[in-house]
Amino acid sequence: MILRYLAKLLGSSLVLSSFIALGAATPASAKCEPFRTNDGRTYFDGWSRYPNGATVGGVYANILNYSPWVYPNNLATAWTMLSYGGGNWAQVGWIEYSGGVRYTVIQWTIGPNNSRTKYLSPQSVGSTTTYTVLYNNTPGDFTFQLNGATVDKETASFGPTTGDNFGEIQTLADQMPGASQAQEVFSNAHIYVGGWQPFSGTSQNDLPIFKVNVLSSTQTNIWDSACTT
Amino acid sequence: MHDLMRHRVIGFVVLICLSFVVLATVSASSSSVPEPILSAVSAADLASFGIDLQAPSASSQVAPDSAAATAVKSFPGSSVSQVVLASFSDNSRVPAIHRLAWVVTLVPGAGFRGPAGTAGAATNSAPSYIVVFLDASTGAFIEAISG
Repeated sequence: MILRYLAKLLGSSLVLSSFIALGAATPASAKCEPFRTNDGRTYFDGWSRYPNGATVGGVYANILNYSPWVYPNNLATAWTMLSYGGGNWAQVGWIEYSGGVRYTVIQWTIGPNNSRTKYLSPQSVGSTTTYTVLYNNTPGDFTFQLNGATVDKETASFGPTTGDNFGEIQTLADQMPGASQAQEVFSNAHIYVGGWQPFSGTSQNDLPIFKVNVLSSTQTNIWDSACTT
Repeated sequence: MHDLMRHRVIGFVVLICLSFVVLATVSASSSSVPEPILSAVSAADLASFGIDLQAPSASSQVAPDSAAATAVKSFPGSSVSQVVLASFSDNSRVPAIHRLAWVVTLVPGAGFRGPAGTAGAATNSAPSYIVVFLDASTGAFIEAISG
């Protein structure tokens, strides 16, 4: 009797765990052409944190290395960033150009709106990478890290006051990273303001067709509403 | 016996002199190899990336045409403007990179951009150059820059 009860319990647990596993599974992402006009404009989708003018010493997030559909001669990218005002920034993330050419991208400004870009070998599509930018971790430098390992340091030309995690496209015809059932994920997002703390950003999307869902103080997901998978 | 000694001394002196001549020639030829200069990117611009180019210290296992083709494939739509062999250093990378490399300067293709800056204040300016650095022994991609 007891054995029969245990077998029944075990059976229902297995069924239940199978359902949980199915529910938690992330469908494989596929490139999805959104069939929109090529307008040549830049769009952002993600979240931002401005801690009232305090210096931001760093930002990191685990970003899914997503592979979206990219309009010919264009790009899609997702990154973490430290910034000041509109024209000063330091960022690291993945970038994909049309034709599936991908890189890890590091970009920083050496003066307002005067940027420098480095392209490194890419992380593999479908993996998740912790992308980190630090300010003054070594005095006077921005430090760029992949999965906690420093890969590059550049001279800092400004003191950052904002942290960002965004997806970006440079024409309406591109797919914003993510689809409704295969979203682009920024998880474990943190910001350094006197100490590391949950990112707790404010969501921002340039158009309502680009979705952003703040799931917790450390995670936001984004996707293109034209795409399901 | 004296003649033999005299010939040996003369031979030794000639050998010493020849050694000096060979050393001087090698030294002159190595110092005459010019530092690689990129026509599209100044040394100061390269320095803003932490990059320094010096005269190559060896020859390449990879043909320049092959390096140029790899670079164009890395940035489709671009065209080659210069290919030089150099001792390449990127002192901003951690750990720093020091390698014999093909340095391929590209004219970016129409519409080529990098990330556009901050949300709400995108600059979207077109870079004027791309430089691709390829390992001169294997042809493998090391890194690229644009500005």
